[in-house]
Amino acid sequence: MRTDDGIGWRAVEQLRGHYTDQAAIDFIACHQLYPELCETIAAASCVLFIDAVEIGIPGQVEIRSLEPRSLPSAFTHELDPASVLASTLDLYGEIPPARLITVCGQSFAVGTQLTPAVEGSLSHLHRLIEQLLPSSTGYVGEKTPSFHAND
Amino acid sequence: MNILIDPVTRIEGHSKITIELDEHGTVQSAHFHVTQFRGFEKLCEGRPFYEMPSLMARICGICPVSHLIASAKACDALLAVRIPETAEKLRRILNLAQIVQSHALSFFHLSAPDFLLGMDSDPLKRNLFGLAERDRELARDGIRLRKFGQEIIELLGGKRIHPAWVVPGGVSEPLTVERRDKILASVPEARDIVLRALLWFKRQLPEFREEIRTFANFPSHFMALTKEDGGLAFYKGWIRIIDAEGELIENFPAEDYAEHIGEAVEPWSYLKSPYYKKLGYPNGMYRVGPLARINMARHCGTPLADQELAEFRELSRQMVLSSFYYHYARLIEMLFAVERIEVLLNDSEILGKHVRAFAGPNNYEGVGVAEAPRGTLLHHYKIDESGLIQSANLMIATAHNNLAMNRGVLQVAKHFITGPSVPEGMLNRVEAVIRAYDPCLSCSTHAAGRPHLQIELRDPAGHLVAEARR
Repeated sequence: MRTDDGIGWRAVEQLRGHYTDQAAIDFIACHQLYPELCETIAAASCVLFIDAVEIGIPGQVEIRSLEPRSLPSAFTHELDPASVLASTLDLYGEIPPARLITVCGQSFAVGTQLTPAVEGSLSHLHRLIEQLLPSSTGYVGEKTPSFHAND
Repeated sequence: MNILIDPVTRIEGHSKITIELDEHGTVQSAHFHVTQFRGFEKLCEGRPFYEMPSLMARICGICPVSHLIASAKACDALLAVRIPETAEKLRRILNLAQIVQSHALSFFHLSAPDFLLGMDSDPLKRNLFGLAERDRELARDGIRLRKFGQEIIELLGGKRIHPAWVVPGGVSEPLTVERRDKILASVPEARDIVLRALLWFKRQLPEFREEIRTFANFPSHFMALTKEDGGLAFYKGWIRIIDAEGELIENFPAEDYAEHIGEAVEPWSYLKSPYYKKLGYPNGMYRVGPLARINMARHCGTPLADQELAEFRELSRQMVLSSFYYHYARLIEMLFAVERIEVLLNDSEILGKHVRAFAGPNNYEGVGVAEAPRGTLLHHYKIDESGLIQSANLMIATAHNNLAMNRGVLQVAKHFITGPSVPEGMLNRVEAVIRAYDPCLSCSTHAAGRPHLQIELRDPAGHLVAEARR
C-alpha cells in the first residue's frame, strides 16, 4: 500500500511462485515482525529477511549478515530482524545463519505499484537469493530455510 | 496535584491516565483517557453494504475477526438470509480461534510479566522478553498458543490478519479435509498449554491477594450473549444483563439493544461510555468480556472447561466481582475454545460445500452481534435502496467497560497511591487494572524494554513540583 515499501512482499510472492516444488522452503510475507516468528526461525537452517530502505540509490540491492541485537525500542510494534533473532536466541537457545537483503525505495507514498527503479531490481534480487539458497537438488535436512518479507 | 501516566503500557492502543491529588496527597479523582480517534462510523457512509465486513475488519489488527463476524451478521440481516449450517460452524471456528490468539496475547505477553516477575519488578524486564529470561517454557507456551489461533485463522481465511473469507451470506470457501486435519493435529498441544497455564496461574493467586481485593472489585451489572439454556455463547444468542447477585435483569435480542443501552460522551476521552438506560448515566455501569461471560454461564458445554468453571464458582457464592479475575476467566475461555474447535471440526457437516446464501438487500436495517475477546460487539447498519450505507453504529466491546475501567482506576489509585511520592510499582498497578480488562484501543501497542512514562506532580495552582520520566 506504500509503493516501494511492498518490495519485500512482491519478492516473496514471486519467489513462492518460482519455488513451487520446494516444500523445504518457508515463504512468509508479513506487514510487521512478531514474536511468533521466533519459533519458525528457530526451526530453520537459514533465514533471509527482505525489506525496503529509504536511504541510498533507488533500486540498489544490498546484503549483509545479521547478528542478534536486543530490542532498543519500547514497543514490540518496532521489532526488527536483529531483535527477532535476539528473541529467538532467548526463547529457543539457538538461531540459524541470518541475512538481511535490502532494496532502496524511491517512493513510499500511498500506492500499490513499485516504482520502475525498484521493479527493475527484482530480477537481480531473485538471482542473489538463488545463490544464497541451498542447492535444490542437493538439499537434505530436517530444518527448512525461511524467507521473511516485511512490507 | 496531578499524576499523569502516558502512555498506558502493555495494552492494545493509545491511552493515558490522570490522577488528581489534593494538597495532602490524597487521590481525589482519576480518569482513563483514550487518546486516539478512528472515525469508522463516518468513513463507511456511502459504501456498498457488502464491503462492510472487509472495511470493518480494518478497525483492528488484533481482533479483526470479531468485526468481520459482527459485520457479516449485520449484512446477513440486511439480506434477510439464513446462512448454511456449514458456514455458521466455520464462522464459529474462526471466532473461537481468535478468542484463543487474542486471549493468549493478553495473558502471556501483556499480563504474565506482572504475575511472574511481580508488580514491583524492574520495568525494563517486565515484558515478554523478561518473561522468557525467567521462564522460557512459559514464554514459549504463549507464543505457541497464539500461533495455534493465528494458524487456524490463516488456514480458514487465507491470512492471519484481516482475512476476507467471512462474507455476507456465509463464507467464501469451504474447508478442505487437509486443512481440517492439520488443525485437528494441533489441538492436543494447545489444550495442554492452556491446562498448564491454568495450573500455573492458580498457584500465583495467593501472591496477589491485595490486587484481587482492590482491582476494580465492586458490585456491577454484567452483560453478555448467552444461549437459551444459559450456556456460554460467542456467536449466537440473546443479550442478557445480570446484577451482582446473578439475578436476571434483562434478556433481549440484539436488534433491541438501543432500547436498553445508551451511549454517553465525555470531553476527556474519545472512547464512548455505554450505560444501562434504566439506571441512567453513570449509574448504569456494567461490565462485559470474559468475567461477565463466565459469571453468566450456567455451563460451558465442554468437559474440561466445565470442570474449571465449577472450580471458578468456588470463588464466590454470587458473582465474582474482582476484575483481577478477568485473567482467570480468560484462561477458562481459551480452554473452552480449544475443546469446542475440536468438536466442530469433527462435525459431519464441517466439510460441506454449500457455504453461502446469495440474495440482494431485503431490509433497510440490520444488526449483527458477536462476543469478541473483550466483550459484546454490535454492528448496526442502515442502507438506502441501492444498498449504500446511510449510517453505522458500532458498539465496541471495550467501550462497554469504559465506566468500569474508570471506576477501577480510581479504586486502585486510592488504595495504592498515598502522597506525592509514587513508587513505580504503584503506577504499574494502576496500569494493571486496565490490563485486566484487556482493552483493545485499536492499534496494538506492546511495551517491552523501556516503556515511556512521564509523571508530573503539580501543586494546586498547577505549577510543576516534580517530574519523573522513564
